[in-house]
Amino acid sequence: MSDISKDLIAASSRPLVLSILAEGESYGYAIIQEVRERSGGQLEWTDGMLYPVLHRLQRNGLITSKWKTADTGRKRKYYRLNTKGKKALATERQQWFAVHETLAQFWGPDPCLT
Amino acid sequence: MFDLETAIADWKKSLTAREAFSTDDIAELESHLRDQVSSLISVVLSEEEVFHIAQRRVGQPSELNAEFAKEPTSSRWIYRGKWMCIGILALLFVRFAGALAYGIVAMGGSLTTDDPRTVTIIYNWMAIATSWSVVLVGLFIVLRHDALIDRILQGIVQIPKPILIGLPIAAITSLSVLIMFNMLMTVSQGEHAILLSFYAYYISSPSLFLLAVFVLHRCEQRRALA
Repeated sequence: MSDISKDLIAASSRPLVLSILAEGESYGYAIIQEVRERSGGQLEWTDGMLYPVLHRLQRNGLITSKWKTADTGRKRKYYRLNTKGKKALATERQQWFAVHETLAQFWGPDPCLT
Repeated sequence: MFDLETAIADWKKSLTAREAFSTDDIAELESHLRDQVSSLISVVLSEEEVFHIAQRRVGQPSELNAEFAKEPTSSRWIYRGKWMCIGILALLFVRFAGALAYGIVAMGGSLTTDDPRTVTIIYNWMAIATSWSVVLVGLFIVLRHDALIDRILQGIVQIPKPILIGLPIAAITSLSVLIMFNMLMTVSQGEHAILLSFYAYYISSPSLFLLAVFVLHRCEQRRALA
């Protein structure tokens, strides 16, 4: 499969970050690893792209951040989803499902090769 | 001989040279780079090779700068501008507090000199000294302690907007009214010119502050839309 377009990656970054943080607080590096793992390597985020997304979510009041020191002594900035963020995630979920359902009507269910 | 710490310090320096990053952003990116380095460290690759791979993955300073510039709150100059507005506000409070204290003392009658003009001259010089020291200390803090400002501003951003804007306006307005009342009591009826100039001064300072906040806010909005 060809690489997922830049626009689609940018559009999906917000719901993805919110979904990851809904599972518990996390920091930039771990979030990128999580995206790579969960997408089976199909979603390749450039590292620098993530932080502006996180900062925007924070400015919009959906997530909060805190510097913490890990056991190794290294400082990391942890992000956490708040109540407003949870509501925003629910809205995102509805919208993405609406798009998905509409497309599925045209394309039918996923082809099964086996 | 390659030294990882020196390489990281140089990399941070190249980020500092660009304006889109706040100190907090750079600290965050550094933590990211170090995580990337430790995950790559292996027997096969040297520390130097690992550093170059990690640096490539995090992104070139120019690419990072373009990404970070998309998010206006990350910009150091927006932060500094906001901080300067807070400085102006602090300055106004100092001035108001000084004027108020002076008014109370003068009204109480405990301030007695033969020539009232001497008192005015002393007061004015004191006001100039305090305002200069507040501005200089403010500038020093802004330029030397970027991380501290980032943290304070992040805290301020959390405060709901109506309180953030309403409270200072209410405080300045009530203080202004008090001072005006004070002056009406102390300045004799004939001296309308003095009264007018004082009134203009106290009106212009908060207006300037509000204008600065408005302009910065619009700049931010325009950058966010761009």
